[in-house]
Amino acid sequence: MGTEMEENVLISIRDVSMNYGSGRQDAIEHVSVDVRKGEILALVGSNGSGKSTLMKGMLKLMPFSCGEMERAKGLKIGYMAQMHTQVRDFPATVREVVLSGTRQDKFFPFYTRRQRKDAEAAMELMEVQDLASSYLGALSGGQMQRVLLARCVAGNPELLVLDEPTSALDPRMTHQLQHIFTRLRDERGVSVVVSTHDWHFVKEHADRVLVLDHSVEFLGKISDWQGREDEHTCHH
Amino acid sequence: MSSLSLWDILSSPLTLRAFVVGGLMSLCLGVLGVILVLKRYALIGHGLGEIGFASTAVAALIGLGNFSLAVSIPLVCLTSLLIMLFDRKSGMGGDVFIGIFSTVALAVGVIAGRFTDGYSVETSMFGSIMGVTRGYMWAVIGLCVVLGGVFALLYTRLFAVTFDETYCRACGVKADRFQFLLSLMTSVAVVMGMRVLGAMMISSFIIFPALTARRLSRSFKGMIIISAVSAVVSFTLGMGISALSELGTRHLPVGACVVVSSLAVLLIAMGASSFRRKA
Repeated sequence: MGTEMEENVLISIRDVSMNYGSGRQDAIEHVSVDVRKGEILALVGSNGSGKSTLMKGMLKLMPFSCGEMERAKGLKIGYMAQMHTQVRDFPATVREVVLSGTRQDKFFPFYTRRQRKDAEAAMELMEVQDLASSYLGALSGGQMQRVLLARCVAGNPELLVLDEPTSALDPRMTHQLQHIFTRLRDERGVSVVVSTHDWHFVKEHADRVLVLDHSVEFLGKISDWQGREDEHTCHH
Repeated sequence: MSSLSLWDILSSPLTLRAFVVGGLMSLCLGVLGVILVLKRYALIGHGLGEIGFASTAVAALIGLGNFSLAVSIPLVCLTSLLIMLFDRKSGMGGDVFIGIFSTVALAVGVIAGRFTDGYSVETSMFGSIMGVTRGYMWAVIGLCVVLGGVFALLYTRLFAVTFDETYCRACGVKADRFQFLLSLMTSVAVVMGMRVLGAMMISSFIIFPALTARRLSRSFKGMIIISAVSAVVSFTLGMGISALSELGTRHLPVGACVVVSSLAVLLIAMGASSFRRKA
């Protein structure tokens, strides 16, 4: 990228398009967005509008067909994907899974004291410490979601990328989780990029909203959004 | 009837070496099998076994039969990496490429075998203890030490990548390097194991012990330990049956006997698991 990235920007995406294979229609077209330090950026759009694809592009899990991205050097990221059916069958306890999200700087056969401390703190934050010795197969959908979020938090990330993190949660836990995002932003300066269909959350907690329908329909503060919310909510 | 007694067979240096080599190879494949099965990549062992078979047949055809390991290991490693690469790039699923490579390799191996005097297709496919030299035994011991070291040093990362590779890649972990390492270790283990265990049978040493362990353990570490133990027990049983068959008129190949004993161990584990669940 020609220009130097601004200091308060973690990820800068310029004029990016992505598709699911050569010759296929673009999943997203000419998207430009910055992810800033300490903000909650909500990605909103109907199913298939390109939210998950854009997130995968940010995480370098999928290539761009054109455009550029710059990321802050050594950026620590936590990610929660939308689908996690495979991991439910995995033979592991909650503690092992959360520990696997901690930063591993050296080759060492065991987890260090710092890693164990980070994992315990993350489990406490997500209220899954009582499940620490439970096996994944015994968890409900909502518990699983919280465990995977605890894994994200255990790595002390600067940026959390969360693909519909509240989809399997009840209203109480959804509200609690949204409160946790706000705390992470306010107390630790963590940036959160979150895709959601929950306009209430967007209005209450998001600093900015990116409305996506393959290309950017709107990017800015929710108070400036003039469009219709019902066009961008999920219709099952 | 053979004039040999059971003691003669069991105490011969060849049989003892075969026990050591087969036991250690079962241990290695049993441990690797846990990761391969959990990553839904279990069939790779079958594909690599057939590619190993083809490479030994081709090595024999071009007069390098005494150096078959030196020919097979690089060839199988290369193919394994190609399968991994095609799987990643095409998004069609690794089983498609395993199917393509293994059937082509099987055909090449059978054709090369027909043109090579003294080359036994059956021995390559179903295993034999005749090829277990002292040097080969030390090579297998070396492989076990390396594999054990890699597992001990990388345990926490192997767990993370096996559990959720996508998450690791998203967080900046070089997951491809672990995949690469896993492919190399599996390739080397398969090639070294197929001499005793047989190219056609080698995948069962990856799949059966891991499935047995999955039935009996709910933790990753527990699965690795049980898989390793179950692989060695199955091998010892199968090898014992094969050695006993030497007393009769029909010799049973080691690989086939171990597959049957692995199945028996799996069935016992399944029975024990369902009994425990009901209790």
